[in-house]
Amino acid sequence: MRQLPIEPILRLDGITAAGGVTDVTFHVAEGEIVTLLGAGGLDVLAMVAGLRRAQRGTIAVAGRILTRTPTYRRPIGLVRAGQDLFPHLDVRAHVGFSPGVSRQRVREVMERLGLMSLADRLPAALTPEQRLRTGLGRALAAVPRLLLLDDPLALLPPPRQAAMQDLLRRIAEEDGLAMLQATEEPSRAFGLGNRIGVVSQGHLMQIGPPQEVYGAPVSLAVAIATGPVSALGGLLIEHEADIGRLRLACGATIEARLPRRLPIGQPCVIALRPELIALARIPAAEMGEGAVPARLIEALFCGDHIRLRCRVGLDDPLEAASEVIVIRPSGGALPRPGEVSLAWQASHAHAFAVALP
Amino acid sequence: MNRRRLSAVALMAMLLLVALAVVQFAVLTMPAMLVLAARPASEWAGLWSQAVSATVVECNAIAVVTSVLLGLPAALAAWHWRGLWVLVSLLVAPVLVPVALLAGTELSSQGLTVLLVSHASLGLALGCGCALVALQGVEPGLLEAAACAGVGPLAAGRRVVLPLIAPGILAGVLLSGASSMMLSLVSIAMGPPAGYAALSGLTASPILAVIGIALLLCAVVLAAMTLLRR
Repeated sequence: MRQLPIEPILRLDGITAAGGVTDVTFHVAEGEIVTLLGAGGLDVLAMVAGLRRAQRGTIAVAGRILTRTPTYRRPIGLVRAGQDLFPHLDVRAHVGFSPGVSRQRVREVMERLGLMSLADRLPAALTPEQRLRTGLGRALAAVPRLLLLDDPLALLPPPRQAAMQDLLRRIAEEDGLAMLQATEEPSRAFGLGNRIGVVSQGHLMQIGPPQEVYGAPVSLAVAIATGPVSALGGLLIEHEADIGRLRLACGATIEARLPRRLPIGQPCVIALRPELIALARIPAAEMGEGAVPARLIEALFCGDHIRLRCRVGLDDPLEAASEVIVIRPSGGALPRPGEVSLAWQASHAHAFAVALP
Repeated sequence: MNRRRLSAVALMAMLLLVALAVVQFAVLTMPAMLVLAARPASEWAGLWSQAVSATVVECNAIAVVTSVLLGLPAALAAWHWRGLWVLVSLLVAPVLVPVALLAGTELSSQGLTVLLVSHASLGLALGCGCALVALQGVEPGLLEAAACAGVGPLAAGRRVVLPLIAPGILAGVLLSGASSMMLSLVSIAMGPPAGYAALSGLTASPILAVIGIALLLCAVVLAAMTLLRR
């Protein structure tokens, strides 16, 4: 295998698979955790593991090109949500499953993951978290350079997800292990990844730090994949640098960030994050420039937050197209339906071009 | 061929299979039972000593050994390479042949080679069939997990697959032994002087040959349909 003069543990260059992803290029450095968000992420994971064949492109792990290397010869570990444990082997046998793993190593890994008291248990007698720890132990015992995480936290309740994310981050940091996670759930992606890559329609649309991907999505698909958004229709009437002024269907004029340069008159969709919208029971003119009149239709208590369903434009007949969701921290009485005004910072609204039918 | 047409062909094959089973019961199993029932009680005494003769033990042994040594690899091959399903369904087909028909064949030939081959084919069919059923319960994800843990295909088969399908292999061994014994007993019971002539006459008739071939064809068609619908 040819040696590459590169630093990252994992480097993908133009990976393409039939019916799957197209031209995916990124890298994962030592100690870094990258999460692929979206349905195509699992395809990439399978190709890195060698479980699926890449038609084109190069996969290199620790400087060795492994595109055609069989799975069992790759220096990787795969962790799933715990459903791939061998039913006939106990926890100790799982941790020592890989060839060449010494008893001392098995003991070290089991102690680190809190598995010593479960050593003689079969998978059927384990909780989902214990099963996950056992699968993690099996992968770590062989000292891989790259750990592949196939949405491992999917079966855990949110509080336990946070605990396991802490554990995985600690392992990546202490062992200098590169990790690549695939999931379709934004909360699990942002909770673990140092960088987030959004895979949509077979393409890696955007990859970067979590705040950047969430706060400045490059497309509507990325915005939708990374969290809840409300979409408003509008027409670009002028722009200055990366901020554009758009006229909504209800007649109000707002400002929004333009990820790409667009021509004047371009129909757009404006994506808004529900937690970044201000809502007040005062007229829009009093709320300030860029505020739009709306009607609060429904308020729903959701435990840690309140979900407010509003319709922008008091007389707009296109109800579905102009609905906006606002999220507020819970506390106090639920707001009653009625006329309100909505406002947001221009940098928190993102305008994307839409093709005319 | 679209799925609806495949379903229709599979349904027709299954109906034909049931019809053939009814016909073979009427023209073969029932007459055989009548032949047995007509034997005088004095002839039954010597049958049990024949049942533990060296030839019968040899036949049982060859059936059991074949079920493990040939049936298991055939099942593993069919599980791994789906394209071999039709071929393997041919191997499993002897299970469908009525025991009385096989016994009649043995009586007609009177040769040790034919005897051993018929028992071996039964053992192969049952061993392969039981292992295939057991393999359906093995998640492909387990082999992926083994590969990602650095374990090669052969070691994964030995350390993961074989322990999981061990009950199926054991079932194949027991079924092969029991079926081989049943086949031997039927052959002995139907043997000379009373039953032989009647049964060899029955098995030599063209209609039974057609039934046997049609049963095998139906089984192959059903297996092919199952494969194509995946």
